[in-house]
Amino acid sequence: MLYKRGSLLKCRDKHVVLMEDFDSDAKGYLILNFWEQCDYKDINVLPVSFAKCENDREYYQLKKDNIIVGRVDEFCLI
Amino acid sequence: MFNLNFKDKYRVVHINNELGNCVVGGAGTYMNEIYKYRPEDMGFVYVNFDDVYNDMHASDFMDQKDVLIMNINEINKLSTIDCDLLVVQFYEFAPYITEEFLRDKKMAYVIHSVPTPEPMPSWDPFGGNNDIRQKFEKLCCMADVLICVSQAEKDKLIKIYPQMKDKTTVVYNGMECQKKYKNSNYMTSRKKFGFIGRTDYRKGILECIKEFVNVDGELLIACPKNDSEYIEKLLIYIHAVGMEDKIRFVGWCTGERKEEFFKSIDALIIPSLYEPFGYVALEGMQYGVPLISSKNGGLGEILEGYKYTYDPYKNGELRSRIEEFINDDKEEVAKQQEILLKRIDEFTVTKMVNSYNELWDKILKEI
Repeated sequence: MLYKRGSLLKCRDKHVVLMEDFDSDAKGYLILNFWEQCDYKDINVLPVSFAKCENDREYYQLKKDNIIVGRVDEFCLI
Repeated sequence: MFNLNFKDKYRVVHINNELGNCVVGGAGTYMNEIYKYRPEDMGFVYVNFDDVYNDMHASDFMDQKDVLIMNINEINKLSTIDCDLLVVQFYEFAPYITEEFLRDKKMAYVIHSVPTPEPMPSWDPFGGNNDIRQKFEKLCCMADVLICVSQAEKDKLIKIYPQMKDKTTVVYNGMECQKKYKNSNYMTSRKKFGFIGRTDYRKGILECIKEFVNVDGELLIACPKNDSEYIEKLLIYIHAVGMEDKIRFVGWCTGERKEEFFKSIDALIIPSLYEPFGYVALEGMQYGVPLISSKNGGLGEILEGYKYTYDPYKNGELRSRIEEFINDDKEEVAKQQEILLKRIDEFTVTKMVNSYNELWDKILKEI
C-alpha cells in the first residue's frame, strides 16, 4: 500500500506525520525525520520518513544515528 | 546565478552564505532581519558554498527583490558588483575579496563568530586550523571596520588581535519582537523542558542531558540533524543511562511547529558552551518562556539581571538552576519572566538597524 506524504499514522501509541511517500510493502522502519524542516503544528506528532532495512546489520547501522519510531508493519492510518 | 531585481548600483551590499530559507544559524536570522528592514539603496548577495546541485528557488528569498544568488563556482562574478560599501559576513569570502575589488569601496566585516573551537585553546586560538585563521585574519586586516555582535565577542577578538581594537565596534543583533505570547505553563507545571538549536557540540546538548539524569522532568529536543556523529554520541548516552522516556526528539521545527514548541514547554534550556550572541534566547523571550541558560558569551549580556543563568563549564550548575526554577514560588518566576520581557526591548530590530545605518553613514562620510 502506498502512503502519501502528509498522511497521519499511529504506531506504538505515537502519532506521526509522513514527510515523504512510502510503500508499506517494503521492509524497513519509519524513523524520525530531522533533516528536513517540519512545520506540522502539533508538537506531539512526529515527522517521519521510511528507511529501508532488510537485515540486522542494516538495522544496527540505521539505529546508530537515527531515532526509530517503529516497524512499517506496526503502523495504522488514523 | 540568478538575479532577483538586483540593481546595477547600491550604496551598501551585504554578501553572505545565509539568506531567506537558506539559513543555518544566527547569521541567517540576522541577515533576514536586516533584509526585512532594508533601505532602498541596499542589496544582498547570497552565495551557496555547499551543494551546487541543490535547487534554489526565487520563493526562498522573501520579497524576491535586491538579491543576487550565485553558486560558489560563479563567485568570480562578485567583482562586477558596484557599491560604496561592501559588508562581508563570513570568512570564507576572504579569497575572493581583493584589493582591486575594493579599490573604490569601503569594507565592513560583521563577525558573527570568531571562528575558534570552544573552549578556545590557549596554545592556538584557532586550534591548528590555519586555513580558517588566514582567511579570518585577511578579512580583519582589509576591513575598514569590524563589527562584533556582542561585547564578549569583541573581547575574544581583541584578546587574539589587540591591534584591531581601534577599528572594532559592537552592534548587538536584534529581532522583530512582537511579544507574541506569555507562556504561563510554570504556574501549573515545571517538568517539561525544551532545547532548540543545531546539533553541534558548542550547543552543549550532551552536557545538558547528563545533568538531566536526576531531574524529575522531560526534555524535548527540537533540532536538525547537522552532525551524525554527535547524534550518535547523544543516543549512546541516552540509551546507556536509560533515559529514553525522559528525552524526546521532536524534529527540526519551523513555522507553527516552532511556535507550538515554545508554547508547550515549561522552560527553555540553553546549555551552550558559548554563544557569540544568542538569538535563541530572544526567540524564547518572545514567547515569554522562562529560560534556564548558560551565561557564556552574548547570552550573559542579553540576560543581564536574570536569575536562572549558569556557567556551562561548572558541573552541577545547570541542575541547580533547574531545581531552583522548579522550587521557586510563582511570584519569583513571574518576576524573572518580567525581567526577560523587559530585556527583549534592548534587542529590537529597529535598534539594530538604526545602529548599522549610523555606522554606514559614518564610514561613507570618511570617503
